[in-house]
Amino acid sequence: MLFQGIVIINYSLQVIWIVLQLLVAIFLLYKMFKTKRYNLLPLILFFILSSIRIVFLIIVPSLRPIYLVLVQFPSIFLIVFTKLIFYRYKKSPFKIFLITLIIVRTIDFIIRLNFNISIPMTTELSESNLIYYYYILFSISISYLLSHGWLGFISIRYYLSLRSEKIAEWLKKRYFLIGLSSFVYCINIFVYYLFPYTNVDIFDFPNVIYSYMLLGFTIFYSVGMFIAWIMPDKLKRYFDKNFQPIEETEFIEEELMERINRERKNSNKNQ
Amino acid sequence: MQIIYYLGHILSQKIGISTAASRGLIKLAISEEFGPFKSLETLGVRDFQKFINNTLKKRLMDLNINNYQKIVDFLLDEVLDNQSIITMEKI
Repeated sequence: MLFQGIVIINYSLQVIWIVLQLLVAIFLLYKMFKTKRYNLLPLILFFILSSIRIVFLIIVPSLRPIYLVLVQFPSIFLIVFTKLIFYRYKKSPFKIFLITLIIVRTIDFIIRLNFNISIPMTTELSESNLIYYYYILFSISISYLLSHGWLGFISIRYYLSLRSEKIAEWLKKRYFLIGLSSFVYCINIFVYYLFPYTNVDIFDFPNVIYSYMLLGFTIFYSVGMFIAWIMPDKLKRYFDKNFQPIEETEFIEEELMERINRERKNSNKNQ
Repeated sequence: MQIIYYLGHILSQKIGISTAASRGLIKLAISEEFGPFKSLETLGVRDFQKFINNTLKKRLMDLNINNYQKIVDFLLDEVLDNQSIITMEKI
Protein backbone atom coordinates (compact mmCIF):
# COMPACT_ATOMS: atom_id res chain seq x y z
CA MET A 1 0.00 0.00 0.00
CA LEU A 2 2.77 2.40 1.02
CA PHE A 3 4.79 1.38 -2.02
CA GLN A 4 1.83 2.01 -4.33
CA GLY A 5 1.30 5.43 -2.73
CA ILE A 6 4.97 6.32 -3.29
CA VAL A 7 4.75 5.25 -6.92
CA ILE A 8 1.52 7.17 -7.56
CA ILE A 9 2.85 10.36 -5.93
CA ASN A 10 6.08 10.02 -7.92
CA TYR A 11 4.25 9.67 -11.24
CA SER A 12 1.85 12.49 -10.37
CA LEU A 13 4.76 14.84 -9.65
CA GLN A 14 6.42 13.77 -12.89
CA VAL A 15 3.23 14.68 -14.78
CA ILE A 16 3.15 18.11 -13.08
CA TRP A 17 6.62 19.17 -14.20
CA ILE A 18 6.20 17.71 -17.68
CA VAL A 19 2.94 19.63 -18.16
CA LEU A 20 4.48 22.85 -16.79
CA GLN A 21 7.45 22.65 -19.17
CA LEU A 22 5.24 21.78 -22.14
CA LEU A 23 2.99 24.74 -21.37
CA VAL A 24 6.03 27.04 -21.32
CA ALA A 25 7.15 25.60 -24.67
CA ILE A 26 3.70 26.11 -26.26
CA PHE A 27 3.46 29.65 -24.88
CA LEU A 28 6.94 30.56 -26.16
CA LEU A 29 6.14 29.03 -29.55
CA TYR A 30 3.06 31.25 -29.81
CA LYS A 31 5.08 34.31 -28.74
CA MET A 32 7.88 33.46 -31.15
CA PHE A 33 5.55 33.56 -34.17
CA LYS A 34 3.66 36.58 -32.87
CA THR A 35 6.75 38.71 -32.20
CA LYS A 36 9.01 37.12 -34.84
CA ARG A 37 11.70 36.58 -32.18
CA TYR A 38 13.09 33.37 -33.67
CA ASN A 39 15.98 33.40 -31.20
CA LEU A 40 13.49 31.78 -28.78
CA LEU A 41 13.49 28.55 -30.81
CA PRO A 42 16.40 26.83 -28.95
CA LEU A 43 14.63 27.46 -25.61
CA ILE A 44 11.37 26.03 -27.00
CA LEU A 45 13.21 22.93 -28.22
CA PHE A 46 14.92 22.63 -24.84
CA PHE A 47 11.58 22.55 -22.98
CA ILE A 48 9.97 20.19 -25.49
CA LEU A 49 12.85 17.69 -25.46
CA SER A 50 13.38 17.89 -21.69
CA SER A 51 9.76 17.05 -21.03
CA ILE A 52 8.85 14.56 -23.75
CA ARG A 53 11.98 12.41 -23.62
CA ILE A 54 10.80 10.70 -20.41
CA VAL A 55 7.30 10.19 -21.85
CA PHE A 56 8.94 8.77 -24.96
CA LEU A 57 10.92 6.26 -22.88
CA ILE A 58 7.82 5.12 -20.95
CA ILE A 59 5.55 4.82 -24.00
CA VAL A 60 8.06 3.23 -26.41
CA PRO A 61 10.86 1.65 -24.31
CA SER A 62 11.96 -0.42 -27.31
CA LEU A 63 13.19 2.77 -28.97
CA ARG A 64 15.76 3.40 -26.24
CA PRO A 65 18.52 4.44 -28.71
CA ILE A 66 16.31 7.29 -29.92
CA TYR A 67 15.64 8.26 -26.30
CA LEU A 68 19.40 8.28 -25.72
CA VAL A 69 19.84 10.65 -28.68
CA LEU A 70 17.11 12.96 -27.32
CA VAL A 71 18.81 13.07 -23.90
CA GLN A 72 21.92 14.62 -25.41
CA PHE A 73 20.34 17.73 -26.91
CA PRO A 74 18.55 19.85 -24.24
CA SER A 75 21.74 21.23 -22.66
CA ILE A 76 23.10 22.08 -26.13
CA PHE A 77 19.89 23.94 -27.04
CA LEU A 78 20.05 25.85 -23.76
CA ILE A 79 23.56 27.21 -24.36
CA VAL A 80 22.58 28.18 -27.93
CA PHE A 81 19.64 30.12 -26.43
CA THR A 82 21.93 31.87 -23.91
CA LYS A 83 24.28 32.84 -26.73
CA LEU A 84 21.47 34.20 -28.97
CA ILE A 85 19.77 36.20 -26.23
CA PHE A 86 22.72 37.61 -24.30
CA TYR A 87 25.78 37.39 -26.54
CA ARG A 88 24.77 37.77 -30.18
CA TYR A 89 27.47 39.77 -32.03
CA LYS A 90 29.48 39.72 -28.81
CA LYS A 91 32.42 37.74 -27.43
CA SER A 92 31.50 34.89 -25.11
CA PRO A 93 32.71 31.43 -24.01
CA PHE A 94 29.96 29.93 -26.20
CA LYS A 95 32.21 28.12 -28.69
CA ILE A 96 34.28 26.50 -25.93
CA PHE A 97 31.10 25.45 -24.08
CA LEU A 98 29.50 24.10 -27.25
CA ILE A 99 32.53 22.06 -28.34
CA THR A 100 32.97 20.71 -24.78
CA LEU A 101 29.31 19.70 -24.58
CA ILE A 102 29.30 18.04 -28.01
CA ILE A 103 32.37 15.95 -27.12
CA VAL A 104 31.14 15.07 -23.62
CA ARG A 105 27.62 14.21 -24.79
CA THR A 106 28.82 12.11 -27.73
CA ILE A 107 30.91 9.95 -25.40
CA ASP A 108 27.93 9.89 -23.00
CA PHE A 109 25.70 8.52 -25.79
CA ILE A 110 28.19 5.79 -26.74
CA ILE A 111 28.64 4.69 -23.12
CA ARG A 112 24.92 4.65 -22.32
CA LEU A 113 24.17 2.73 -25.48
CA ASN A 114 26.87 0.08 -25.04
CA PHE A 115 26.89 -0.41 -21.27
CA ASN A 116 23.25 0.34 -20.46
CA ILE A 117 24.21 2.87 -17.81
CA SER A 118 21.76 5.29 -16.24
CA ILE A 119 21.59 7.12 -12.95
CA PRO A 120 20.08 5.55 -10.94
CA MET A 121 21.07 2.20 -12.45
CA THR A 122 18.27 -0.05 -13.72
CA THR A 123 20.45 -3.13 -14.28
CA GLU A 124 23.38 -4.69 -12.39
CA LEU A 125 26.69 -2.93 -13.00
CA SER A 126 29.89 -4.95 -13.01
CA GLU A 127 32.89 -3.48 -11.17
CA SER A 128 34.89 -3.40 -14.40
CA ASN A 129 32.36 -0.93 -15.88
CA LEU A 130 32.38 1.38 -12.88
CA ILE A 131 34.54 3.93 -14.69
CA TYR A 132 31.74 4.40 -17.24
CA TYR A 133 29.26 5.03 -14.44
CA TYR A 134 31.52 7.79 -13.13
CA TYR A 135 31.88 9.21 -16.61
CA ILE A 136 28.07 9.57 -16.86
CA LEU A 137 28.13 11.40 -13.51
CA PHE A 138 30.81 13.69 -14.92
CA SER A 139 28.80 14.21 -18.12
CA ILE A 140 25.66 15.17 -16.18
CA SER A 141 27.65 17.59 -13.99
CA ILE A 142 29.34 19.32 -16.94
CA SER A 143 26.04 19.57 -18.84
CA TYR A 144 24.22 21.19 -15.91
CA LEU A 145 27.08 23.56 -15.13
CA LEU A 146 27.58 24.77 -18.71
CA SER A 147 23.90 25.08 -19.61
CA HIS A 148 21.84 25.91 -16.48
CA GLY A 149 24.84 27.28 -14.59
CA TRP A 150 25.75 29.69 -17.40
CA LEU A 151 22.15 30.89 -17.93
CA GLY A 152 21.68 31.24 -14.16
CA PHE A 153 24.89 33.21 -13.70
CA ILE A 154 24.17 35.59 -16.62
CA SER A 155 20.54 36.16 -15.57
CA ILE A 156 21.45 37.00 -11.98
CA ARG A 157 24.26 39.28 -13.20
CA TYR A 158 21.78 41.17 -15.41
CA TYR A 159 19.25 41.34 -12.61
CA LEU A 160 21.87 42.93 -10.34
CA SER A 161 23.06 45.38 -13.00
CA LEU A 162 19.51 46.45 -13.98
CA ARG A 163 18.15 46.55 -10.42
CA SER A 164 18.64 50.31 -10.05
CA GLU A 165 17.69 51.18 -13.64
CA LYS A 166 14.38 52.84 -14.47
CA ILE A 167 12.81 49.94 -16.31
CA ALA A 168 9.75 47.87 -15.41
CA GLU A 169 10.11 45.80 -12.24
CA TRP A 170 8.47 42.73 -13.79
CA LEU A 171 11.24 42.59 -16.36
CA LYS A 172 13.90 42.64 -13.63
CA LYS A 173 11.97 39.92 -11.80
CA ARG A 174 11.98 37.81 -14.98
CA TYR A 175 15.80 37.88 -14.97
CA PHE A 176 15.81 37.05 -11.26
CA LEU A 177 13.41 34.10 -11.57
CA ILE A 178 15.29 32.62 -14.52
CA GLY A 179 18.58 33.01 -12.64
CA LEU A 180 17.28 31.58 -9.37
CA SER A 181 15.52 28.61 -10.99
CA SER A 182 18.57 27.75 -13.08
CA PHE A 183 20.93 27.97 -10.09
CA VAL A 184 18.70 25.80 -7.91
CA TYR A 185 18.35 23.27 -10.72
CA CYS A 186 22.13 23.23 -11.02
CA ILE A 187 22.46 22.29 -7.34
CA ASN A 188 20.67 19.00 -7.99
CA ILE A 189 23.89 17.67 -9.56
CA PHE A 190 24.94 16.53 -6.08
CA VAL A 191 21.87 14.26 -5.76
CA TYR A 192 23.09 12.15 -8.70
CA TYR A 193 26.28 11.42 -6.71
CA LEU A 194 24.21 10.05 -3.82
CA PHE A 195 22.59 7.17 -5.75
CA PRO A 196 24.39 3.90 -4.93
CA TYR A 197 25.35 2.23 -8.19
CA THR A 198 24.58 -1.19 -6.68
CA ASN A 199 20.94 -0.35 -6.18
CA VAL A 200 18.89 -1.02 -9.31
CA ASP A 201 15.34 -0.23 -8.24
CA ILE A 202 14.33 3.42 -8.20
CA PHE A 203 11.73 2.75 -5.48
CA ASP A 204 14.17 0.94 -3.15
CA PHE A 205 15.64 2.72 -0.15
CA PRO A 206 17.58 5.08 -0.39
CA ASN A 207 16.98 5.59 -4.13
CA VAL A 208 13.38 6.58 -3.49
CA ILE A 209 14.49 9.48 -1.27
CA TYR A 210 17.01 10.73 -3.81
CA SER A 211 14.43 10.40 -6.58
CA TYR A 212 12.05 12.59 -4.62
CA MET A 213 14.87 15.10 -4.04
CA LEU A 214 15.49 15.24 -7.81
CA LEU A 215 11.77 15.66 -8.39
CA GLY A 216 11.67 18.51 -5.86
CA PHE A 217 14.45 20.37 -7.70
CA THR A 218 12.81 19.73 -11.08
CA ILE A 219 9.42 20.97 -9.90
CA PHE A 220 10.97 24.09 -8.35
CA TYR A 221 12.74 24.76 -11.67
CA SER A 222 9.60 24.14 -13.74
CA VAL A 223 7.43 26.37 -11.55
CA GLY A 224 10.11 29.11 -11.59
CA MET A 225 10.38 28.98 -15.37
CA PHE A 226 6.59 28.87 -15.73
CA ILE A 227 6.19 32.07 -13.67
CA ALA A 228 9.18 33.76 -15.33
CA TRP A 229 8.03 33.19 -18.91
CA ILE A 230 4.22 33.01 -18.61
CA MET A 231 3.98 35.95 -16.27
CA PRO A 232 0.29 36.92 -16.05
CA ASP A 233 -0.56 40.63 -16.34
CA LYS A 234 -1.88 40.61 -12.78
CA LEU A 235 1.53 39.50 -11.48
CA LYS A 236 3.28 42.06 -13.70
CA ARG A 237 1.09 44.80 -12.20
CA TYR A 238 1.88 43.51 -8.70
CA PHE A 239 5.63 43.64 -9.36
CA ASP A 240 5.23 47.13 -10.84
CA LYS A 241 3.17 48.50 -7.93
CA ASN A 242 6.00 50.87 -6.89
CA PHE A 243 7.15 51.60 -10.42
CA GLN A 244 5.98 54.90 -11.89
CA PRO A 245 5.28 54.25 -15.57
CA ILE A 246 6.85 56.94 -17.73
CA GLU A 247 4.33 59.19 -19.44
CA GLU A 248 5.14 59.39 -23.12
CA THR A 249 5.03 62.87 -24.65
CA GLU A 250 4.68 63.05 -28.40
CA PHE A 251 6.75 65.86 -29.90
CA ILE A 252 6.83 67.33 -33.38
CA GLU A 253 10.40 67.67 -34.63
CA GLU A 254 10.81 71.47 -34.26
CA GLU A 255 9.25 71.44 -30.82
CA LEU A 256 11.55 68.62 -29.71
CA MET A 257 14.75 70.25 -31.00
CA GLU A 258 13.73 73.55 -29.43
CA ARG A 259 13.14 71.82 -26.11
CA ILE A 260 16.47 69.97 -26.25
CA ASN A 261 18.37 73.20 -26.99
CA ARG A 262 16.58 74.96 -24.14
CA GLU A 263 17.26 72.13 -21.69
CA ARG A 264 20.93 71.98 -22.70
CA LYS A 265 21.30 75.75 -22.18
CA ASN A 266 19.73 75.48 -18.72
CA SER A 267 21.92 72.50 -17.90
CA ASN A 268 25.09 74.39 -18.98
CA LYS A 269 24.03 77.43 -16.90
CA ASN A 270 23.57 75.28 -13.81
CA GLN A 271 27.04 73.71 -14.14
CA MET B 1 9.66 49.91 -24.94
CA GLN B 2 11.96 49.21 -22.01
CA ILE B 3 15.16 49.28 -24.09
CA ILE B 4 14.25 52.81 -25.28
CA TYR B 5 13.62 53.88 -21.67
CA TYR B 6 17.00 52.45 -20.80
CA LEU B 7 18.90 54.13 -23.65
CA GLY B 8 16.92 57.36 -23.14
CA HIS B 9 18.00 57.45 -19.51
CA ILE B 10 21.67 57.06 -20.48
CA LEU B 11 21.46 59.65 -23.25
CA SER B 12 19.74 62.15 -20.97
CA GLN B 13 22.61 61.90 -18.49
CA LYS B 14 25.24 62.18 -21.21
CA ILE B 15 23.90 65.32 -22.88
CA GLY B 16 22.13 66.97 -19.94
CA ILE B 17 18.50 66.87 -21.09
CA SER B 18 15.33 65.35 -19.63
CA THR B 19 14.59 61.66 -20.17
CA ALA B 20 11.38 62.56 -22.05
CA ALA B 21 13.35 64.69 -24.52
CA SER B 22 16.08 62.07 -24.97
CA ARG B 23 13.48 59.37 -25.66
CA GLY B 24 11.89 61.74 -28.15
CA LEU B 25 15.28 62.19 -29.83
CA ILE B 26 15.78 58.41 -30.01
CA LYS B 27 12.31 57.86 -31.52
CA LEU B 28 12.91 60.66 -34.01
CA ALA B 29 16.21 59.05 -35.05
CA ILE B 30 14.49 55.65 -35.42
CA SER B 31 11.75 57.17 -37.56
CA GLU B 32 14.33 58.94 -39.74
CA GLU B 33 16.31 55.73 -40.19
CA PHE B 34 13.50 53.30 -40.92
CA GLY B 35 10.58 55.49 -41.95
CA PRO B 36 7.40 56.21 -39.96
CA PHE B 37 5.79 52.83 -40.59
CA LYS B 38 8.40 50.62 -38.93
CA SER B 39 7.05 49.46 -35.58
CA LEU B 40 9.35 49.90 -32.59
CA GLU B 41 8.34 46.39 -31.51
CA THR B 42 10.06 44.79 -34.48
CA LEU B 43 13.48 46.41 -33.95
CA GLY B 44 16.39 44.04 -33.39
CA VAL B 45 19.95 44.58 -32.15
CA ARG B 46 21.24 45.33 -35.66
CA ASP B 47 18.49 47.96 -36.15
CA PHE B 48 19.49 49.68 -32.91
CA GLN B 49 23.14 49.69 -33.96
CA LYS B 50 22.19 51.10 -37.36
CA PHE B 51 20.16 54.09 -36.21
CA ILE B 52 22.59 54.97 -33.40
CA ASN B 53 25.46 54.97 -35.91
CA ASN B 54 23.57 56.98 -38.54
CA THR B 55 20.62 59.21 -37.70
CA LEU B 56 21.17 59.58 -33.95
CA LYS B 57 24.82 60.41 -34.50
CA LYS B 58 23.83 63.05 -37.09
CA ARG B 59 21.30 64.54 -34.65
CA LEU B 60 23.95 64.78 -31.92
CA MET B 61 26.31 66.49 -34.37
CA ASP B 62 23.55 68.95 -35.34
CA LEU B 63 23.08 69.73 -31.66
CA ASN B 64 26.81 70.64 -31.48
CA ILE B 65 27.60 68.02 -28.88
CA ASN B 66 31.40 67.91 -28.68
CA ASN B 67 31.94 64.32 -27.62
CA TYR B 68 29.20 62.86 -29.84
CA GLN B 69 31.40 59.97 -31.04
CA LYS B 70 32.11 58.87 -27.45
CA ILE B 71 28.38 58.98 -26.67
CA VAL B 72 27.57 56.98 -29.82
CA ASP B 73 30.21 54.36 -28.94
CA PHE B 74 28.89 54.17 -25.38
CA LEU B 75 25.30 53.66 -26.59
CA LEU B 76 26.45 50.98 -29.04
CA ASP B 77 28.20 49.14 -26.19
CA GLU B 78 25.09 49.45 -24.02
CA VAL B 79 22.87 48.02 -26.77
CA LEU B 80 25.17 45.04 -27.17
CA ASP B 81 25.50 44.53 -23.42
CA ASN B 82 21.76 44.73 -22.81
CA GLN B 83 20.50 43.07 -25.99
CA SER B 84 18.59 40.51 -23.94
CA ILE B 85 16.08 43.22 -22.89
CA ILE B 86 14.89 43.44 -26.52
CA THR B 87 13.68 39.82 -26.45
CA MET B 88 12.84 39.50 -22.75
CA GLU B 89 10.38 42.38 -22.80
CA LYS B 90 8.48 40.98 -25.81
CA ILE B 91 7.31 37.86 -24.00
